[in-house]
Amino acid sequence: MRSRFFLASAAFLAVLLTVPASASGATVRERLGTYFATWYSSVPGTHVVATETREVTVPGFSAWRIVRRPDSESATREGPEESSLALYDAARDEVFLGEILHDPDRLKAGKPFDRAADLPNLTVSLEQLFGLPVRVELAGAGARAALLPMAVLIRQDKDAYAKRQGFLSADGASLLLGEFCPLSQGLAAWREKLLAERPGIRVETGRFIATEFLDFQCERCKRRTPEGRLAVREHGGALETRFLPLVKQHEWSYAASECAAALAAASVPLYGRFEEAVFARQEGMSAAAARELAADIADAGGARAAYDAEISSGRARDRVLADIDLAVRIGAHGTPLFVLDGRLVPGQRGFLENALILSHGNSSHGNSHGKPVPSSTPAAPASAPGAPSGKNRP
Amino acid sequence: MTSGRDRGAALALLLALAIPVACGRGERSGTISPEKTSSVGAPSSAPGSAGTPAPPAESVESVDVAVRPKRPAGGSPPVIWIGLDGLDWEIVDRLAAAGKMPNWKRLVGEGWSTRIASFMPVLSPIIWTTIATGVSPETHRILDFQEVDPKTGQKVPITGRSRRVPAIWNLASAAGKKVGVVGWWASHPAEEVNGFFISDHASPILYEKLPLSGVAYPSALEAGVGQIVARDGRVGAEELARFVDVPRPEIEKALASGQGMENPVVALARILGATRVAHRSARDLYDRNLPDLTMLYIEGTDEVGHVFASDTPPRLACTPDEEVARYGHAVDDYYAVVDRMLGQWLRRAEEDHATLIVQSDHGFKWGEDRPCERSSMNWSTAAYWHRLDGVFAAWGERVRPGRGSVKPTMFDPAPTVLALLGLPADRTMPGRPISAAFRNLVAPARTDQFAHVTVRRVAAEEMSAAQASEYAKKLLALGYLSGSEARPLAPTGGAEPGMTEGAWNNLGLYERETSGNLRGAREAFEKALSLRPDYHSPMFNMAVLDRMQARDGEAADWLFRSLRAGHADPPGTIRQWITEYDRLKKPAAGLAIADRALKEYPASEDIVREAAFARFRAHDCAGALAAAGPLESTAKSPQTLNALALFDTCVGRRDDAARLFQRSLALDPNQPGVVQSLRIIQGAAPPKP
Repeated sequence: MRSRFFLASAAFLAVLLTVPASASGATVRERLGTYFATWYSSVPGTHVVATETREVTVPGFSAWRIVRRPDSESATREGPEESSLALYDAARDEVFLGEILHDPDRLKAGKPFDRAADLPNLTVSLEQLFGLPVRVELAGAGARAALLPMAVLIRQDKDAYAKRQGFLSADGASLLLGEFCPLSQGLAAWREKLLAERPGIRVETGRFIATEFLDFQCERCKRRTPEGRLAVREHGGALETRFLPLVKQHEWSYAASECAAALAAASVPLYGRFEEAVFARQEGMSAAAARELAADIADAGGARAAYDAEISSGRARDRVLADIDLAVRIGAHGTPLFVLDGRLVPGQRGFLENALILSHGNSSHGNSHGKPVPSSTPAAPASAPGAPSGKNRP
Repeated sequence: MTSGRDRGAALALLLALAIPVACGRGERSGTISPEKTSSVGAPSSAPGSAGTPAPPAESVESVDVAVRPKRPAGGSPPVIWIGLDGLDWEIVDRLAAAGKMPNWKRLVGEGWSTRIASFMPVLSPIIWTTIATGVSPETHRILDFQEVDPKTGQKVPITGRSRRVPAIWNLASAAGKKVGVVGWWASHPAEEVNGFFISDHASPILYEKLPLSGVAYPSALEAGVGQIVARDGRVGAEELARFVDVPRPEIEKALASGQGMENPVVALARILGATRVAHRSARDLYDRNLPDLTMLYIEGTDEVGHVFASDTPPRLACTPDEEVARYGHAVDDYYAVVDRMLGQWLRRAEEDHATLIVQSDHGFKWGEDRPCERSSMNWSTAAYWHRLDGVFAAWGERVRPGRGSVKPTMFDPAPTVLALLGLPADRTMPGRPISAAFRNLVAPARTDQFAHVTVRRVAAEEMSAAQASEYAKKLLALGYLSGSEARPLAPTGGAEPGMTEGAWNNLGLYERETSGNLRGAREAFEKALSLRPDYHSPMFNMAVLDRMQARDGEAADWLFRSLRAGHADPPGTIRQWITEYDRLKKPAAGLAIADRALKEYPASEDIVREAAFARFRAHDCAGALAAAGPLESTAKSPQTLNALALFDTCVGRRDDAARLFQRSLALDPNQPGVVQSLRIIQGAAPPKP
């Protein structure tokens, strides 16, 4: 019989604000509650509670269930269930952000992980989880004694595998897909740090950088990418582009991303032309047509050799895979998705614009008469606990 | 976020399902068992020939004949060409992966397949005639579902008489090849070929209860066709209960109601019946005649989507639970029927060393791109459910296995089939053989084929006004026609059928979108409007044409005229129009549209919101608020409240914005963007200088 790895929870979606460094005297429970509350507490009439749990048992770590609850017991509020698991590493003061697959039966059985017998079953389970072919790579011992570092390679295209880092518990009962992050560092700052490590495609420059993850086959991306770029520019910033091809739903989006990455490396303006052309022809596009289009644009721009080199060397592929990896790490799952000051901003119309006005002023959206419009109530406090750092990427 | 237990359970279920699916792989498809089949042309000996036809003991797709006549050795290998309307890769990939289309899986696994590009306008009679002739609509002139009776001006179903060029079947027949054609669009009356020909009027979807006069060549086949229609075309409640989860009495009531395609149960019965009629006729006649070229068209693969796509997995948020529960597996089960039929054709191709080609005229939206806001059954929005990319697949000894990276067009299959048959193509055919799919395919010689081939048709009874009206009603129910398009025109005179205003409009669309002949497009739209001055579609098309030619004032006039005349989805249309001007970097033109929309539709929440957004994008936050502000007390849509909140933020009224976002959240709690915005408003530092 196949062993089953039960997926326990996704904990790393959308926790937004910088959390103040370890509040003196605060318990782990309180700190975790504050850490995750920065997302949940904005829902009116609710608060977030962290409760230690034994749903997952990994030696050396405490497990916590994070739940959003109504403020009053009698209050009921409709909405999606919001509950997740978190692992806390007290020795390093780090919290695990990611998905946890856990098999309580296996834990009870107390069998050690047998690479030869268990790895194929693990691979099958992961293929079913992701809906795509996967390979699993297990490393030797890592920095944490109870956890073996591992990587899941998820097929995006021929010879193109996106990597998800993770850990396997020594008993094989728990599989962790994700990474440990300092509890003292808020997610916004952490995301900004990750994004700054490797810049996206920047067709223009500005006082600050916002990021968009896009999929060339997504209909909303076609509309929102130019709108988002314009909105960011109007506030003095620049929008950088990263790729998140949703290959399970979109058959040519990976190919288009790879071509786009190659063009951008050869010449950023050529990338701009490609983006516009792909979106304009989205309805009738295919992988072959996207490649042909990119090659034509490279030809016309005198950059064919450079473009070909990016493709044949695998550099374009690696750039797309790195973007996918980054998207997963910061919690981006759909497209279009914007990242502004470390916050994930959904792609629907208006939300990026709203966040831009609040965070970066209303430089170009003045009212038509040039007069301030009075607020009906006093403005919000100048600062609030856990506000984003506001640091801009170079 | 999902709860851990739910996702764990889902994973466990996946693992549990893996075993039966794997077991199913070993089964051989296309089961062959003895069967006494009815045969076209043998009405007296077939069961059910007297009185009310009994439902078939076993359906045609379930049981194949045990023994078939052998095709004589020698000669060029035959071609079996099956047209499946609206077949789309997304649905066949899903069903093949789920084990519900094993024959399709075999066909693409062992054969060659690719996406095939369709063209605008994506309408079946137009595209299937291009597929069958290899030439453009402006040449073949099948441009609508209807044509005009030259004597009465009555609109009647489109016939082959409107076609101005011979089809592949005529060319092959004239070259001495044996030909069999069943059900091809716009092929009535039956054409005289070296073989057999069953016109599209045998289909119970659109032509139920119409006379079968002229439906078959040789005419002696008519009686047998009638018998097959009566037997295989009739699907009873017991069988339908396997496709839908609807109480049996309700199914019986629907079937007895006299309702048409607007009733899903009746529609399914007709779709299934028509599919079986086409398949049974083609299969039986194929076995008796063993043609060199067989062409079979099945309409149901598209129709079933128009009726049930919104009920089909993956679940659409806009579909009520009750509908999903009743009709959620109808499409899967119908496609399984089609797959069994494909299995029978694979068997014939294998036994007769034939090349089997399966293709569609366009794709269909089966995924998250299904347009919730646009009905698949409404005349004005049905086409939004079509995708431009269709399916092309070939299987047989001459086929080079693989998945094609080239994307052929609808002009390419005709010269491909001629090349497979070793026949020349006409010089006017713009397509090229799809050589990547075949081993050693020699491009056909180009000659003036059309000029030397005469098309002869059998005599057919004229359709009465009442019958034509019945046909028009069915087209309406399927979303192909608007009410105005059913109205008669002035008699055109002469012997040839005239073109409807819809045909002129479609010709204009083809010229504008596919040929790039803008002058020709304008003339065609003007002709459509001269025939029907209140026809909104050519008005809208004129608007697009004027916009393409930078005549923005005229474009706006045509746009609002078309909306007043009934063009679909005014808010969405206005939004797209403004967005397009943004794309064209003409914001002033977009703003002019927005201001005019505010004047013309002051009570429409959706339109006012779109117009206000246009002002916001033009950096006029106060103007946006002034436009949308009156909606605040009555707004019913979270989108409107979110927009108002944005405008409030923009003018510095953060607390008002927060209040509006909270109202929005109360209407729809599942809005992460709103939660996010609230959080920023409540905790944000002041904007940077």
